[in-house]
Amino acid sequence: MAARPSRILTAVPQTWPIRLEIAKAIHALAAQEGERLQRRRAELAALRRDCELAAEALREVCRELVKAGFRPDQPRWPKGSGRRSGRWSGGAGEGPQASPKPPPADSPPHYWGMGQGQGPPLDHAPEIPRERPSDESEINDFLKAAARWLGGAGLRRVLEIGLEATIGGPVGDFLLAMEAASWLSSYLPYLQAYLDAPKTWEELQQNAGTGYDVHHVVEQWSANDGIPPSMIYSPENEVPIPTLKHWEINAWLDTPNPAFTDSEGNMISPRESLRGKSWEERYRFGIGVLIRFGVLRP
Amino acid sequence: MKQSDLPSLSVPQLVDLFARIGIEEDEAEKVDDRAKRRRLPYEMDAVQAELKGRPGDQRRALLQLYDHPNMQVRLVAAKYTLAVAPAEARRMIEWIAASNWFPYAGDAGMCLYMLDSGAFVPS
Repeated sequence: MAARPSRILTAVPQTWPIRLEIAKAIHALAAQEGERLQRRRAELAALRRDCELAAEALREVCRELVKAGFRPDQPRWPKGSGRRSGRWSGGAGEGPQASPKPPPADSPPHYWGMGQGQGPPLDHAPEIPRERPSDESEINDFLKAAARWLGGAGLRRVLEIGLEATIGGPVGDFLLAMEAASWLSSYLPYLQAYLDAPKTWEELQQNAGTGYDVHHVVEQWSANDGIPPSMIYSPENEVPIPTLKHWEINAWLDTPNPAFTDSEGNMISPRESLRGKSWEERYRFGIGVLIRFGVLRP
Repeated sequence: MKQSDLPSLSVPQLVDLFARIGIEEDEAEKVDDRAKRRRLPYEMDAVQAELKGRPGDQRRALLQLYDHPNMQVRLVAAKYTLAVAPAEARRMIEWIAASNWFPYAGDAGMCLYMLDSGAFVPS
């Protein structure tokens, strides 16, 4: 039995002008696809460059650590020591150590003696998954934990008190372990961005690439609450900030907070407290949030 | 724990419950569990309201949580003691705001912003 001709082939008249049109259309589509591919390749290359830069920055810190005296033969917790296995066990030997600093004179009466005598505890670095977690939310949770731990306890303090303070200590250990986890390399820009010192508005506008999100000082939902979209999507309201800071601020805005109440005294979230407010009030508040969350320099 | 059970708890038990809710709040924020993040503050508020309603306003018992190992617990304890121990509570909040330990530092900073603007009047 002869095969039935394709319905598509029979539906299109096989005249030369029609064939020419089809060929032109195929050519145009192929060209578009080529442009798209080229753009995508350029984006990927930029992303790769960003990742390489970020990875290089952290590698540089690690190299400095090694140069300053880190030795792989320093005492480590043996296998089977639970979460501490393989980590520095104390008694780092001859490497220079940071002197614990006294609590600040104006510390509260119940000063809690955080890590190294000031600042957050240094002894609970987040566990680095050896393999890339299959669940994206697990990766996000780890990135948040790592960024906060480094931001609070680590790199900024390293810059302040010197690399030698990290030798054989938890920060140095953590950085080296991060470097060893190859799956993390594409996420390092997020950590690096989170560690940015507060910037001026003009400096923030220079933020670009992986690790940064566009943040709206007056949030986008305000368009449904009387604020014109032209103001919400204006350059004075849009600013690229570290992605992990963006998440942090969003969660804070969304969480009921005893410092925020409605007209009847019921606790509400900061976001809910902005409902019905003017553009000026919302903008002032939004700038206040960026300053207090360590993004914008006052 | 139901809200209706709170009157049967002693002050130390209420303080302990307050701290446990604070730790859960912290965990909910870390793993971005929105439902918990939005529910737990009301549970904590009910506990502090129970303490406030006890003879002599027992919220001062929360001062002991300024020593708690969890930063979120310290911060909420400080916020809820602003009315009964304003100087100590404010110093604690200022200290957390300056600690560089986010998001607690940001939350503490915005608490001061609300206090100083007069929008938050602890009672």
